[in-house]
Amino acid sequence: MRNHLGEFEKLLLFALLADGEDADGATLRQHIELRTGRVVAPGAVYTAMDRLRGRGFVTSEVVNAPPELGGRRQKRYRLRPEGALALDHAVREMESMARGLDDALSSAVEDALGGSDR
Amino acid sequence: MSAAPPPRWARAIARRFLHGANSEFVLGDLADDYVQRRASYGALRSCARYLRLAAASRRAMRSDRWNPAVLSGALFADARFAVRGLRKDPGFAAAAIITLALGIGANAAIFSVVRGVLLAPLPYPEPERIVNVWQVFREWQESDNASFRAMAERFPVSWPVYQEWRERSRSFDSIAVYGEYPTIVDGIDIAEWVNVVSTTRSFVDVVGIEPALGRWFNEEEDQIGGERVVVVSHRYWQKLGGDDTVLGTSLRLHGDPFTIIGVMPAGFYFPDRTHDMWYPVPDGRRNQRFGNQSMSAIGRLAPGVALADAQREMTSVADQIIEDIPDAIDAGVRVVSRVDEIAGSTANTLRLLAAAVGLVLLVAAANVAGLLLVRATSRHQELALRAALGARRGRLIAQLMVEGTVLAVMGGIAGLAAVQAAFGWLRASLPPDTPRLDDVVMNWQVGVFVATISLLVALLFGVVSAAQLRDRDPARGLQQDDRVVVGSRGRSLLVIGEIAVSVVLLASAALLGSSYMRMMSVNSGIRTDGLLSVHVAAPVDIWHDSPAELRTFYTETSRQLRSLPGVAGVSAVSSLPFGGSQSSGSFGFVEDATAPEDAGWSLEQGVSGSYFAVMGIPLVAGRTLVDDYDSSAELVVNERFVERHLPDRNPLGAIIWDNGTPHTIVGVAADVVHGQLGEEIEPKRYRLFERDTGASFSYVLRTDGDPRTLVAAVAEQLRAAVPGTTASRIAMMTNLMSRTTALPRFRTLLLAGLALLAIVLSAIGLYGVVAFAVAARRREFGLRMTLGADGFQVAGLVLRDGLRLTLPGIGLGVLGSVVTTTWLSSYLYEIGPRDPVTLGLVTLVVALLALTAMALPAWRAVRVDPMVALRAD
Repeated sequence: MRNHLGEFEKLLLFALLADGEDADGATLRQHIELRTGRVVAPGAVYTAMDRLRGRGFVTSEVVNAPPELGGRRQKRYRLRPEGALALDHAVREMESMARGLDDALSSAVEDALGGSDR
Repeated sequence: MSAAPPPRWARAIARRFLHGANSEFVLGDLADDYVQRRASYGALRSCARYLRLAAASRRAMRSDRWNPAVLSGALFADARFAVRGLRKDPGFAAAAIITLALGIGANAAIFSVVRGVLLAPLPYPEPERIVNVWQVFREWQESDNASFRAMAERFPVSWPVYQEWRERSRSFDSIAVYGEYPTIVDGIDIAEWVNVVSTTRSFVDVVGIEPALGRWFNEEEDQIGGERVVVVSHRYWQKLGGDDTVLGTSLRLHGDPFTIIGVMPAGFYFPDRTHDMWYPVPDGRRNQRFGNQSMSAIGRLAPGVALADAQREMTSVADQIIEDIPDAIDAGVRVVSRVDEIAGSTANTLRLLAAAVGLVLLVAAANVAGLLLVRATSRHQELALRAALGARRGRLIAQLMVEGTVLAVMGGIAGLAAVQAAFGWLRASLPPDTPRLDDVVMNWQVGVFVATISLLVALLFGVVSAAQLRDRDPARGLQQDDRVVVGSRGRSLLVIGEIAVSVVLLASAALLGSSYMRMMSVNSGIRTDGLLSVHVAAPVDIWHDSPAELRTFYTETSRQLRSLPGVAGVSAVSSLPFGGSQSSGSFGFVEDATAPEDAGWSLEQGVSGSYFAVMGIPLVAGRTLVDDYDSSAELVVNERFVERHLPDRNPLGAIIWDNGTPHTIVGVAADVVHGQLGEEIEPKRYRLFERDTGASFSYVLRTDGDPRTLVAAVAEQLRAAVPGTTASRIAMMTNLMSRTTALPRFRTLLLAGLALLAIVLSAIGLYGVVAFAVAARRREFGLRMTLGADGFQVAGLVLRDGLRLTLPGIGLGVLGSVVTTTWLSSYLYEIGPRDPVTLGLVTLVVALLALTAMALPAWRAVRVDPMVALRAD
């Protein structure tokens, strides 16, 4: 259970992976919004990232953003090896659950869509 | 792009919504998001989104407030922060940690003793069910003799009383009697004094432990005419070779053969660790009548029976016995738990010390709390800043608490380490008679205790810090005004409390010290320097029915001792002063024609004629006894005897029934102490030592030089005089005497040490408050001096501040003393618990110490250079 990641935590770690080193909270949030279309509250990002930091999956530091980015203080995150392993584990889990079920899922979706058409 | 920020009202709402460490970043992100969106979606929709996201952020952040991972991360950060802070201020850290280490260490030390003596379970199954049952002898309860009063509460039991109790009581699973007797035992090839217990078969049921080897005695052996059998301790079994084959072999106890039938398990002990054998109560005691009480009773309470229930039942049993049996003595019953029975008088001393040491911890903690408040004050701006940046009050309090906890834990560790290091010394300084000394050990329970009180101290710090934070509006901290905190009420209260507690402790210590000094200055009446005593026992072969041989034993041994170089005089004595035992008996006056035993009672002592000279006891009238062992009918009495029993007569020549025969008083000796210093002197009569029955007695030797050099020679000489003689307990009289005062000495020294600690700590606390106030008022003092105030006036201001704390502290302390020192009554000797002189002196000492603590800050205040002070801003 110790390495289990929540749904939102997975999204954040993917975002961190995608944005590379030293992504700040705002970047992570935009990334998730862009790719999933979900509206994410900034507070939720920082809170979840704190939690991930508490579990040793990421590190954080507070820096002053360069003046062209408004000059305000930002919190930036970096993925730790433990975080990468946990994310990898989560992905493998999902994959092994989904394996061979593509057709079944498609037909189930067709049924669902067909049902709603009627 | 003209980046218009979100409207001010929206930002204000968001700021109010969002708290916590991340609010700064969230607000920034929200603003950026608004700015980006406004271009494409317009101000209204962007603003709506801004507020929606702010609300969602608030929910997300709130729900996570108590997330353990986040919280522990934060607390860990706080702890790191605290340690870093402490390292930056090593003076403060050292002062706080040493103070706490002293307080916690002292508590750990006392706890280790309390645990061993009072709390550790006895090594029997369900030990809480084991009780001692005593008779309460009403006639002696109101005796004017303190030792009689004490004995009245623990009055022994006779065989018939035991039988009645067994028949009539329902509260016990089983009940047994036992008596302890030092006995000369001839083992395989060793003859020595062994502490032997005579008891009943039911004893194993009471203690709940069976022999590890062989068996316990059975019903047939536990009756008149039963076979003589004995069970030995594991330790004694080892001495015998530690082999199964010892079962069935025999030992001689005082010359009589006993068959070994069992070996108790290793570690078993009863009544204490000095006993090595248990055998059935001898026939002589089974034939006792009601009045001949000489044994102790123990019982195992039946399941579910509380001690109070047993007490109630036994009280009514005792009443019935008195009603039914004409021979029964007028006695009640007292049931007391075995643990309390063993702890005895040590228990109250330990409780007293535990209370005192607890107070010292309070003083120490208050002192450190005071230091923390000063730090909190000087860090006020930092805290205010953090509050302004959005730290919730809870977080600030948590941070202060973590700091307090770090200090308390470090103090606890240091205290525990100190006790661990000093433990050997600590144990050695306990009175040698402390019960269950072997159970006084450092173990995990002491560690748990230290952890617990450390956390309690930390909690106290937290409460104090929180109160401090509550008192103040953080915003004012930013105003750079240190006057706000000068009169910190919390600190003042702490110092007042510290002074009050110190007064109470010092008053208690002073009373005990004064008592102890009075006790020690009592002249025992005996010239103890240079006196050596030795306990001797004749070879067991001649113990029974051989008066002629006993006579030779006595003559030979005393002659040999007298011939030792360096020995100026020798006397035999039946019971040694400070030796822990005394005998007493009644007597009658021959010419009054009263019954031989009705005139009164007195202590008795068998001595030889040289006794008074050897002991240095002056004879105030008449002469000493003549060593006429065949037909002596003389007595010497002490002055108290004359005062009480012969006030109007010339004691010399008075004839007294003593042991059934008329004796003439030929001399009056000065009063001397027998049991311990400070006791009430009782009437006493000295008769000639009974040589023909004296198989076991003591010699006192007056030596010319250092008695220590004679110890080996004495033992050798005695064994040479009569082969088979046992010489034991060779001791200097000065040591015997100081042993009897070991417990009061221990109590007094320890309490004095604790009082000293408390008073020094509170002086430091007072100094801290006054010095801080002076530092804060430098400008004011400078101004006053510029305006013409002189040094005395300024110093007066400082002293007034200090006295505002000292005087209420002393007042409270005196009040507290008046209430609490009555608990000391039973420890006090020739001084009242509210002795006004002592209280006055204590007040004076504390006041002087307080003035000393204020002197340095006052001097600093006077030396303030007005120009420097005024320029400071």
